[in-house]
Amino acid sequence: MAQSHISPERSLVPPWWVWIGLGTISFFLFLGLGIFGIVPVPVGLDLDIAWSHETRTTQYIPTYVPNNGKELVFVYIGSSTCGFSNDESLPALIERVKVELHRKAQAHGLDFSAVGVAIDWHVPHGIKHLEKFGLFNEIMTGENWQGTGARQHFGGSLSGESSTPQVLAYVRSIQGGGVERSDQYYHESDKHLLARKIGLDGISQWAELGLPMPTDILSLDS
Amino acid sequence: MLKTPTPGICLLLLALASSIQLSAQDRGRIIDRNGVSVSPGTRHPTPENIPEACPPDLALRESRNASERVFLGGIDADSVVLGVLEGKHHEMFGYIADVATDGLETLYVLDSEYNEVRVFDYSGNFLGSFGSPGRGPGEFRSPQEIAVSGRTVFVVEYLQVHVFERQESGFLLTDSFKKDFMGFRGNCAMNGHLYTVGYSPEEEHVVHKLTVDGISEASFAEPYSSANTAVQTVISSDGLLACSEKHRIVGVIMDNVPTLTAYTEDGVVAWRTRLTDFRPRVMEELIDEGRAAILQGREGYLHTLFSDGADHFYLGYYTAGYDEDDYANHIFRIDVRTGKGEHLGTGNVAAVNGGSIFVASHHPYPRIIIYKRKDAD
Repeated sequence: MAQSHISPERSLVPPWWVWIGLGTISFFLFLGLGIFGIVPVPVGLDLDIAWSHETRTTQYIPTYVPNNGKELVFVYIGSSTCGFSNDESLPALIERVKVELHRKAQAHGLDFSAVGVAIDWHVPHGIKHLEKFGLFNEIMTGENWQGTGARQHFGGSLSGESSTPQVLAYVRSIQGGGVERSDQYYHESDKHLLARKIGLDGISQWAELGLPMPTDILSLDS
Repeated sequence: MLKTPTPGICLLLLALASSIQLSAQDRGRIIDRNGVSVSPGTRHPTPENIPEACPPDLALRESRNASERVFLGGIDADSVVLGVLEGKHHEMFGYIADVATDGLETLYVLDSEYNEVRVFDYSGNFLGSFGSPGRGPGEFRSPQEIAVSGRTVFVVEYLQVHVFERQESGFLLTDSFKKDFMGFRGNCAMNGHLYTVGYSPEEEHVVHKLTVDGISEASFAEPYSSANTAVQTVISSDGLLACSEKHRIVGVIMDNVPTLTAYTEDGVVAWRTRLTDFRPRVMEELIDEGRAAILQGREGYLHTLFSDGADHFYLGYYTAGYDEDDYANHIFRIDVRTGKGEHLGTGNVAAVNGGSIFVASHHPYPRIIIYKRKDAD
């Protein structure tokens, strides 16, 4: 009777740590493929891999939810045909302002939205210009200075100097809004200007100072 | 009057020059696509547009050690600061477009960002505000200057004037009128009238005396002379004015033209003084994309002219570019009665009244500093 030369120590079954390693690699591989849409994931599984809020705030990410209360609105107004609006330093500056204002709004318990306005005749040119400035909740372009975007932000309680680039910050209250609610339920308060900064220097200086705004208008109680 | 030049103003001037469509008057010149006669390379102001001093020896010269002589450095004064970096609405300024004083120890600060006038006493106490954003009477959309005569306050926007009357209860809007010829700046008030710089090819003169209802009672001062009507219009539409209510004299200096002229309220020349060391910025005629335009350099810039309510005008100009680090801001004090003046040094001053000196600054944030001279009392 031949003796077996296979000792129990040399079994073909991999040790436990190999299984754990393979399992871990497979999990992350599947997870990665799922995130990039290469393999299907179960419906309703909302994969959201993110750094903590403090470390990801270099870009403003709009949230598309109904606001119901006091809101800080930031408006960038530029033009594809204005040399100063196309300065290469401006997009980063505007992004920084959006992020910081969003943070300020949150600190004051206010909702926030960012609006982009391009003073252009040609709508595609206006959209292309605004694309350089990151994400907005809303954009307006076309009809140049007679367009709705211009008239909305240079008239009434937001009257001011018509030039580009410039930024506005104002507060308003929206009441009655909700998912699938029609316009008749909405009530918008008067708009109160917090700041209007004109030109690269004006915007940059405002940002350097920490975006100061009247605290009594910004207050939730006002 | 306090003015800070911005690229926007330059662009507006360029646009104004570019947009005026006039027929050619001189066949020896180049005609642009809008029919405007242009002499490319011609630099303004031309010598014939710089009036001689009257009497001939009147001149304002910078003192030799001007760069070391700081106007406010030699004054013994207490100071009060108006404006905070961040605070309540009435505590912080948006953009200080202009300031004015009256003989009633009242300081008016025109804020063109928040579109209102803030009123303070000379100790810095906030007394109230008037005006609001909008396009109706008494509403501002981009106010440029404020002029005060007694209890009458004129707030001037491009092509529009709002008139307020100071009453016990506050400031009452009494009128609001449009004038098509008004320029970007150049306003003062005395004896219940507004004096304003404005020009269009239909106008014979550049300084207009208006009633509180906007009626033109008189006009005087010759426009800038150029065969290019666009150039003539641009340069003649911009200037600085100061009114001496006490002596009934109007001081006029047109943009980039280094001669200060004093007129009686009827438009008779009282004296003329030359700014011998002021270097006008180069304004060169050119054709830009087929249209007439003026290329503006960044050298000298006349930015301040006001009356102290007593016997003097104060005149200020930059000698270099607009950037904070590369200009010197020279200040002169001129006797309204004689035209003789002295160089006070460099610095920044927006208004002087009684023993108080008012400085407006936008760095690091908008503020007014009131200096009260200790030797004033």
